[in-house]
Amino acid sequence: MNDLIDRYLWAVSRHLPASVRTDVTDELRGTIADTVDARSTGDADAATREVLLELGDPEALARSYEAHPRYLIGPAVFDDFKRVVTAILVVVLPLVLVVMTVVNIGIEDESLPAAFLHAAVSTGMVGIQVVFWTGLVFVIIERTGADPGGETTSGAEAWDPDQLAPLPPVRQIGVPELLWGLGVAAVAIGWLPYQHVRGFVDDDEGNAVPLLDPELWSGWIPAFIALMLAAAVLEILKFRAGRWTLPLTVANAFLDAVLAAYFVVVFTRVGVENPDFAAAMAEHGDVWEPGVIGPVVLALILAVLVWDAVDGVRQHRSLADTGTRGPAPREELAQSGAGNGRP
Amino acid sequence: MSDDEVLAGHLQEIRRGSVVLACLAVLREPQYGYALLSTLEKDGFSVDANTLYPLLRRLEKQGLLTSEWNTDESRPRKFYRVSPLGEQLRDEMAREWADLGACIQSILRGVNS
Repeated sequence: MNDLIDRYLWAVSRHLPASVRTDVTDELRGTIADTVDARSTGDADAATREVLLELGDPEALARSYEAHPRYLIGPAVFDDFKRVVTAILVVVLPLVLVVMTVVNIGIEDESLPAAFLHAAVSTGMVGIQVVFWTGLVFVIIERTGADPGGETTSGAEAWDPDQLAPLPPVRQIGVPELLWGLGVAAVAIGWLPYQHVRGFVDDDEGNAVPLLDPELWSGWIPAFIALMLAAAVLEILKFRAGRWTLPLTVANAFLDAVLAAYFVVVFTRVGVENPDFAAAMAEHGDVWEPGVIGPVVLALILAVLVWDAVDGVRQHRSLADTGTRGPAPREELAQSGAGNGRP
Repeated sequence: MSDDEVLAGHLQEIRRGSVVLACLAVLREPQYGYALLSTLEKDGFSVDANTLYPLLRRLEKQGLLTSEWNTDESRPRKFYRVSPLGEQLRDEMAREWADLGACIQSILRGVNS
């Protein structure tokens, strides 16, 4: 009989926070004993069984003793999570399926059915990765309480209508911006193994010669991939906020600065070009002027990065301007609402 | 969902707040968990044990109850007692309860007549 009570208490205590575990268990032990004493008219075992049945599932009982959330992604961010995951999957999965099928036929020399089957498996894996990583980002948003939407009311201060944020005249960052941002990151990452395996020209033995120095794979290219993943996370956060908030603008400019520094170092100090590349090009009689193309590419990249950072600041300031002006005029609202399909 | 289940759900909603008020009233005198449950049942409040015991903890955490372990007897028991803050809130809740009762009465008179 006592064995049953001990087992029950142990099952409850497993789900209790350590700070109250002993106290709650001791109290429950006394309470159960009291109840059994009052009930039992001889058969203590049956009474114990009955009392435990009334207390119910130990896990449910333990849950009613604490107030911590027992979910990964709460209602406040769930809608955004669903939208982001759907948007990414709808665009990325068909793309992966097509690209992988082509790659499997073109590079791996597979038959169409085999190529398609293998591509489908890869697509499934990509889908799982997308859901997992997006989920992880949202779990972190949920845990850290980052809530740019201002929807939580858990703060100690009483809510006041004056705290309502002014209506954004336009949702600055919608699904197109999200897909564009993620697409750029995905292409930037995907191009690296592509040029490595597929190459740009063939050497005299018919092997593909990559454009980028294979040595870079030992550190510089993984670093670039990490930066691109950070950019992808930033894109999701931007979409979640819907607007160029100050932290997002600063983070964006910072990431641009890091990328600019990275490219300057890689282009001028480390060197990007595969040493075998120029020779392979010359064999084919193609013109290759690394002294010209390198600086031009670097200048283009830097121009894009500067433009991106400046554009972020500009958008943030236009947001701040409307904030001080108050709500946008009605016509403007109606137009912008129709323009990007928000209810 | 049957009509009985719907009714049971609504009755539970009505009773929910009353248990807190009843606890704050009964615990003028210190009592331990099972004794409190018996007292409430005797007075006509049917409360489930697995609702009452966690509730006592929450009220204690909110500062409406204080508790003390009594180890004088062979079985250690945790005694709860209403705090000064709890008394104050109990009186306000009691007033609200009376007002609500009067309102319900007056509305129902309109229905029945």
